[in-house]
Amino acid sequence: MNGEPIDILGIEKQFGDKSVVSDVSLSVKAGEFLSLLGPSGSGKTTLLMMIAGFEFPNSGQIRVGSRDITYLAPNRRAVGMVFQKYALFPHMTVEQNIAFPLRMRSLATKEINRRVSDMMGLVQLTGFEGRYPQQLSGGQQQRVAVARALIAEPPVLLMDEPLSALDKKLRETMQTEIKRIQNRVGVTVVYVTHDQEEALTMSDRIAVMSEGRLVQVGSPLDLYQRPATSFVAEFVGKMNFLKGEFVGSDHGTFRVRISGHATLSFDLVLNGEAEQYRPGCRVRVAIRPEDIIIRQRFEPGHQSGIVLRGTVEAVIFLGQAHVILVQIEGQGEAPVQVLVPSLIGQATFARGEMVDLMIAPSAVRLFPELAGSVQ
Amino acid sequence: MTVTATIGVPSTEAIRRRPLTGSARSYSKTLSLILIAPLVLLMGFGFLYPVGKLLLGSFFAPEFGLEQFQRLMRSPLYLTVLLRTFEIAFAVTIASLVIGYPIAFAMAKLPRRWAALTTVCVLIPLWTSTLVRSYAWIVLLQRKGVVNALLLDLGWITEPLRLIYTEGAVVMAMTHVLLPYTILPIFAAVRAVPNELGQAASNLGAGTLSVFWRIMLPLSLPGVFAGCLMTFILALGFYVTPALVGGPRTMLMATLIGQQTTETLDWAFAGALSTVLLAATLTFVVAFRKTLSLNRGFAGVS
Repeated sequence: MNGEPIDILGIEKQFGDKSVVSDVSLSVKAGEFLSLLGPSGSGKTTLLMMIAGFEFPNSGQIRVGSRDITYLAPNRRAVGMVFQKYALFPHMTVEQNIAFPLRMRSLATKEINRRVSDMMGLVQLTGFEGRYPQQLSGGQQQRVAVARALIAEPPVLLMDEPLSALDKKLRETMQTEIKRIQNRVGVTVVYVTHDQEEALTMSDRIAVMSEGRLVQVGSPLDLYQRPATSFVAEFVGKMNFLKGEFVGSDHGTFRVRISGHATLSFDLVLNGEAEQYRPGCRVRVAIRPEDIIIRQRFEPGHQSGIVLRGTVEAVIFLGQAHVILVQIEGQGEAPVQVLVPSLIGQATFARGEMVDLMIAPSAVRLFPELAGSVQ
Repeated sequence: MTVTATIGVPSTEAIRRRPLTGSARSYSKTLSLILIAPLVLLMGFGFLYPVGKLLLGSFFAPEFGLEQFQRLMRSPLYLTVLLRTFEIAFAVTIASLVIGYPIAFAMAKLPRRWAALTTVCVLIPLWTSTLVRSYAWIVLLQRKGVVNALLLDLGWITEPLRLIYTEGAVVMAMTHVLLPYTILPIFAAVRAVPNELGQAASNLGAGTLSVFWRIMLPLSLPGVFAGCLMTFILALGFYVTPALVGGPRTMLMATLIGQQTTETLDWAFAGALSTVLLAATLTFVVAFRKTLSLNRGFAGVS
């Protein structure tokens, strides 16, 4: 079985006069695992439904391989789908569920039996043939749903938040499991999720959607390290935003003053968004929790960045790490999160303690202050 | 907020049980008894006692024995009526199913506005008196009724047809009256089938017809059985409509029993007839349920 590429060209979708998907163009390579990531209402599920054929776009085109499937009936698309709640047929056994697509294609019983038993092996459900879906655990139902979607060997598999009904531990197991099966069969996967961690773990590429638009498409590392907008920066991974003011630029370096720390200004390399910034305008300085270095006190002269002074507000133990919430003067309500690996024997910080946070310019991203944005 | 004793770590059992405690399960036995007491009293005095007396009466007249039942068996008239009752109930059930299923399906699947309109059309007859609806059929079907007048005017017939007081008229009128009882359970069953199942089926290659035949129909069967059973049982004991539309020549069990109690005042024999009808109905229901429970797939559906 081989995956086929998907080309989405200028898709628009309105429900009534409400625009749900606006001008989305996206190419998925054959065999690629692409996640559509976004908060609820971002249009990602609607986009998926249009690929599956349960919704039709107002304009635009969807192609799988060389076929235009934009207005094709769902049962003629050869696009597999795993539904959020699995949608297993409750009146059929596991075996009958998995065999359903082959029955619909009127294959010989012998062929059906052979392929069903192969597939049961692939998803590790051998022995459960005669069970009914309601007699299976959530994870097993998930496997049946994947098996059923893949048995007719569709070139494309769509998954609509398939793991959202499972608990955390099982979800992680199934993530690896889905990746393993995908690698085995080579199908192109479009995976809808609102869980950024899941998207980062599983995807070859992630397409971030917000309010019906595609915000950024890139590899997980790309998105994490080079978010194109503050929405992506905030949605993918954890991000601190410091309030600041743009001071000026010369020869490709930019100077930003962090609010409440009037004397602190620093140089910052910024990739190509210069037009948006004018001296005196408000900016958001973004930095990941793991990129901040925290000490009781930095010796002057031993600094490779700017140092902000603050008060520890809370220390949260996560297992492999601690998150330390630090309130920085002049930064308003939201404390800065600092991620510190929990090493044996290393002293943590206490609530109320004064600390220094060091921020390296290379770890910082700059975004314009959004009109009407909170933070 | 109440601070409960579970400030320590509550056991997983306690956590698991909590979501269920909002239901009737958490009511004490006493409270449950108090809640159902009015119904139990009403059923006891208003239903069980008189019906029991009527049924038992059939075994004690003139003295203890099966005299009344032997009388019933001796006369072919009574057996004919019993058989006819079952025939007509069966015909009404089938007719209601054939007419009702598409309507129920439409109610569940149409866009909201149309579904609401259909629902109203189904429910309005249910809110109208059975008596009125039965008389309406007389108006339509009688010798000089609407149907005959129309057919005569069109010149399709030269003599008025005998439409009323036939088995056909009884089946038609009873189907009309009982249709909602078939439709509503089917509607509930079809509505309970998640939309994604149909989508999944068509995603997996099933055409519209296959989706219906392989998914929607099997999953709506519990509703079909419930609706049919309800209609069948109601039809077996139906009194008003067959009495008005059927006349003396298409007498059914209920009419016969009514005659025995109000005209001949033979309560013992009425009791015997009732016993036979009740026994036949119960046998039928039990047999029906037994057949259903043998079908495994429905265990998790209904």
